[in-house]
Amino acid sequence: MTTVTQARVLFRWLARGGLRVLAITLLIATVVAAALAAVALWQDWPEVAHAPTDADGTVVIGFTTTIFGIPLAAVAIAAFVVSIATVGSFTRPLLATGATRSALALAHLAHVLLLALAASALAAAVLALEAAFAGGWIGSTFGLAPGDTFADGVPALVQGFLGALAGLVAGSLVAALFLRWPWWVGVGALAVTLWVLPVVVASVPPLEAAASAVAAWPWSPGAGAVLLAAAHWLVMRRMPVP
Amino acid sequence: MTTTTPAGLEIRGLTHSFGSTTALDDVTVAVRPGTVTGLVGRNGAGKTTLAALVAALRPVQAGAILLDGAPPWEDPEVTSRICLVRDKGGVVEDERIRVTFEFAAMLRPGWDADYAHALLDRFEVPFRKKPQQLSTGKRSALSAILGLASRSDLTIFDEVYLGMDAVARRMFYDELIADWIAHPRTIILSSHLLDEVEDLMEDVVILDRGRVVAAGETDAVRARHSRDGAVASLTDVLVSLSTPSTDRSTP
Repeated sequence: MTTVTQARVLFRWLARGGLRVLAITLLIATVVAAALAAVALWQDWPEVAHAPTDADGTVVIGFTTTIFGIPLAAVAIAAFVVSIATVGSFTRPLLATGATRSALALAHLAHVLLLALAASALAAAVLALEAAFAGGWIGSTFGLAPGDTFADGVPALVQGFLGALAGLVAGSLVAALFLRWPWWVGVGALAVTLWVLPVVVASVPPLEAAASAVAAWPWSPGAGAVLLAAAHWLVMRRMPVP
Repeated sequence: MTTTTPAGLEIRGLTHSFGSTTALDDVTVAVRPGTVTGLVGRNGAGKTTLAALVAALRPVQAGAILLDGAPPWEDPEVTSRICLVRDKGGVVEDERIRVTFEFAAMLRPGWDADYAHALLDRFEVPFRKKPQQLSTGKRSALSAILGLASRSDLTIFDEVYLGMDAVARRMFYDELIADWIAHPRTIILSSHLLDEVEDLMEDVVILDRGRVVAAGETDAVRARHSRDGAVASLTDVLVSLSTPSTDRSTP
């Protein structure tokens, strides 16, 4: 068994569990969103069903962001939790059962890529629906205006995929940090990244300008995902099992 | 059915520290393929650290560990041949036992699921429970089951049966020997219960404060420490070779 073969075996197992969680989350969130939308219609809640009529005089429902947004958000959150829980719960038992760190890191990264693709496939389906009804529906999770097509939402879809991927890899990395070193290392890394660094960048104008330029670059989430994946690999490389 | 290939283990100049504490100090020892070898020593002697390094649970700091000539670290061909079971760890505590068995089926080429389930029945460990829900004795039995059913070429039992009662321990010893005869492989037993297990050990390695103070065939080691016609037990040997408690505070 080579590292790649072992990584494939591990990935299959992780993927089965991860996709199962996403499917169950989608099912529950869709039921909740549909129920909420039905109540909103019945009660004529202005925040959800605020548009009076369409050309035919029927009620035009502005709940696309509710009925699609809730399941999309739920699946994205579930994917993030799965990316953390997978590393946190299974890394040590798998290493103790004979998995290598390289194979496991590869499997983790392939797993979060799959989760990001699955969430993006759902988003693409939503985009396709919204595009099909563009002009007839009010509100769009992709910000489609009446007359817009699927292609108009693709840049947001790609950005969403790369952002989700970066977020999921970051989740795996944080979990790996806490597994490899004492808790204060992970807390310190998070504090520096989320608090100290933004304060420093905001305080130094050249740094702030550079950060703004990076943020404006459309591929920065993708580049961030690659850097985070490299960091995850490095953290996993000599992971001990206490 | 997967056949086992008893693995030979060679350790050369292994030194390992945790901060300023030296857990293993220039350990050089060989374990013959196909034997049941005892790993013996007082608390803090370095047994668990040695077992963890052999199983590639930690990276080696200095020295070498070779399983049939190949280092186990990050080599799936080698790590899949080594099974270390301890009283804690190695299982997914908050998922049903099924998940831990799935890991073994994925990663251990010799894993025998039927045998594992038969052992669950024999040790009365409920399959549908999570390891964290089991009593200490059943949790120890689960670890023992994982070690036995893995049928790894090198299997290390590190104090795994301490939580079991006397009857369960006897069942474990009987099962271990019966399965070892049916599927010869290399077994390392680390235990404080020397009186119970010394007859199982063909070879023995005795550690004291991270150093090998005796190694070889168990009978020969015992004979070397026998006095006045009375054959020394392994406990006698350990007492005579271990550093007294009063001297253990200084490295």
